[in-house]
Amino acid sequence: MPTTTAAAITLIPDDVLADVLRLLGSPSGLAACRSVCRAWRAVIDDRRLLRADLLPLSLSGLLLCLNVEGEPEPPELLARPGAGVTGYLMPRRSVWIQDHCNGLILVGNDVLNPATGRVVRLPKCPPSPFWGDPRCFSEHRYLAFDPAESPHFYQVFCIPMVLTNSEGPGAAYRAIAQCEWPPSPFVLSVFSSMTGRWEARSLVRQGGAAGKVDDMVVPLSYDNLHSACWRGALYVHCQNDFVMRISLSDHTTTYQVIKPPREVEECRDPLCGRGRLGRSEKGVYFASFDREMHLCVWILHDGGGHMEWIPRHRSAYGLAMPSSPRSSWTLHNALRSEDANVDAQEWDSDDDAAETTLHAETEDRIQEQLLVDYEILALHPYREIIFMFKEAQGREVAYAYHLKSSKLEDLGKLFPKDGTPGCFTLMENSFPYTPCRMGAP
Amino acid sequence: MASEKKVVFLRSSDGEAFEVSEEVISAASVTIKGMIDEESPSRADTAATTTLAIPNVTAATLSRVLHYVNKHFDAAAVVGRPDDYIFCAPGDEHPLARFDDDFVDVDNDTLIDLVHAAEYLHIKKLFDLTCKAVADKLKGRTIDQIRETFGIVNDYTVEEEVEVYRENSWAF
Repeated sequence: MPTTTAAAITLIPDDVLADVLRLLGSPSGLAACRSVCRAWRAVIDDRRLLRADLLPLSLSGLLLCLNVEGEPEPPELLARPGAGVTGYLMPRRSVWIQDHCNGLILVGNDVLNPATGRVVRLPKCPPSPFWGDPRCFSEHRYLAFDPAESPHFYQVFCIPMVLTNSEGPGAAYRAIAQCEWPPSPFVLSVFSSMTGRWEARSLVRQGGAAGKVDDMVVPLSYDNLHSACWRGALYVHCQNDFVMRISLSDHTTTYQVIKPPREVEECRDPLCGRGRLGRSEKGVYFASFDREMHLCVWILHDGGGHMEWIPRHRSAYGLAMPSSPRSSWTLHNALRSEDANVDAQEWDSDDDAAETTLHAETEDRIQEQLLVDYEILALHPYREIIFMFKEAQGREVAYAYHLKSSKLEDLGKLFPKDGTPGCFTLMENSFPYTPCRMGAP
Repeated sequence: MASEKKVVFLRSSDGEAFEVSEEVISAASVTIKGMIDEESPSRADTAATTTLAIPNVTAATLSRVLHYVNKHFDAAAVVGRPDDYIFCAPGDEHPLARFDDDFVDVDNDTLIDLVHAAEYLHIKKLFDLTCKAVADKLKGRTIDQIRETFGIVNDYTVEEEVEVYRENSWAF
């Protein structure tokens, strides 16, 4: 019996096998088939069935949402040197990006793919199916898109977060203050690109809650609460730094609460929201500053269904860094046209060999930096690098911190931009942008 | 000329003959329609029924194929609208969807034989259905699971295997 089985599929003509493989519809499935045997690799490669080059596997830069004098600016792309960033369709309107996931951007009611130029307007979201009094909650939208699994499928999740009334809790709030949070079942509005509709999805919690409604610290800015898509699940950074894990498979009816790293839980910063969730080289990471201004990084470990944060890195108190940038990142804006002058020089943070050279060359120019007043911009999705920024001499400057070498790298000036001196500018939000040249919307 | 009720016989590779309506099989299979068309001039003279040899398909597979064809290509549907004869309101599940699911719920050997037969006989709907079923068996599987499911021998050298894994490391 096994011998005839062996014969059966290998006797299929290459063209037929190619037809079968095309129906897989999943780049990661094709990658697995490519590794099965030589003949299958040849069928896939000869017909270019697997286009990994179109997947969002490289970082173009950081999407920045700036607030100038209280008004949103059209989003900027802080592009890394050498990244070909012309031709992207970035939102031109003065809006803040709500989320980015694997090359898709959620802005207003639009799902936009800047690399393909395609945009889809979401239908009007029905009233929240959630049980709570709407005055006590605010819904935040998160994109879930994994083109390596299914390039044409994305979802938008609306997740309620607890609001407290600044004029003191009202009756509606008092009625729910002692309820556990997040509730179970947790009924969310979810948009699916498969059906093109919003639906109410009821998720039952597996495991414990994060606390009570009344325990939830309301962050100064919800824009610090980000999500990460990793291996078929969406991870959402929620209040009190717990993370909600929602499996993205079709028939999911459950979610999980992941407690914050112990060190974060023990030292709750009153300015909650400085921590940042993101995906990076080996999975889902959480980065935060501790009370002594060390940058601490954890990696999420799946111990057979039990998820917990494992310390990955704690920075030194003072950090060595080159005194001047080697190659600056550049700001690109949909409304301006000086984008053509892209530095072809390789960026250090994408090349480990160059990185060692850099530090050897500049050892004598090093000055010590303390991580005071730094803010986290984003996590590099594929390498263990944390992007940060801080004000220095009246300008905001971007930095890359390399976990492996514990070195800071100066990426150059962020703002004020040349045309807007003296404007009061704030960083509202930032995302690592990885262009996706295939699939949705 | 009235052509209804005409039948042809299909002889499998292992010598078994199956009767099928000429109209149905012509609508379903491009290959057999071609054979019948070639035979037509000589058939006009004789009342004898035609027997067509299908050398690439065994009796077991051919009987499954004809079961599918008879279900999908009812004679009533032939004129202009093959396989579209069942009224199906938008949003309703196609009445044959269940039949199709059960039809391809077979062991790998049988499924691969059906792919071969559908390809040889040029029955597009059956070909698409069976290819999809094979693809579904590959979906979400690890490399080792795929090899095991289909009995594929890993013919990579250790170096090649490392290389091919490295090339697609993003997927694993």
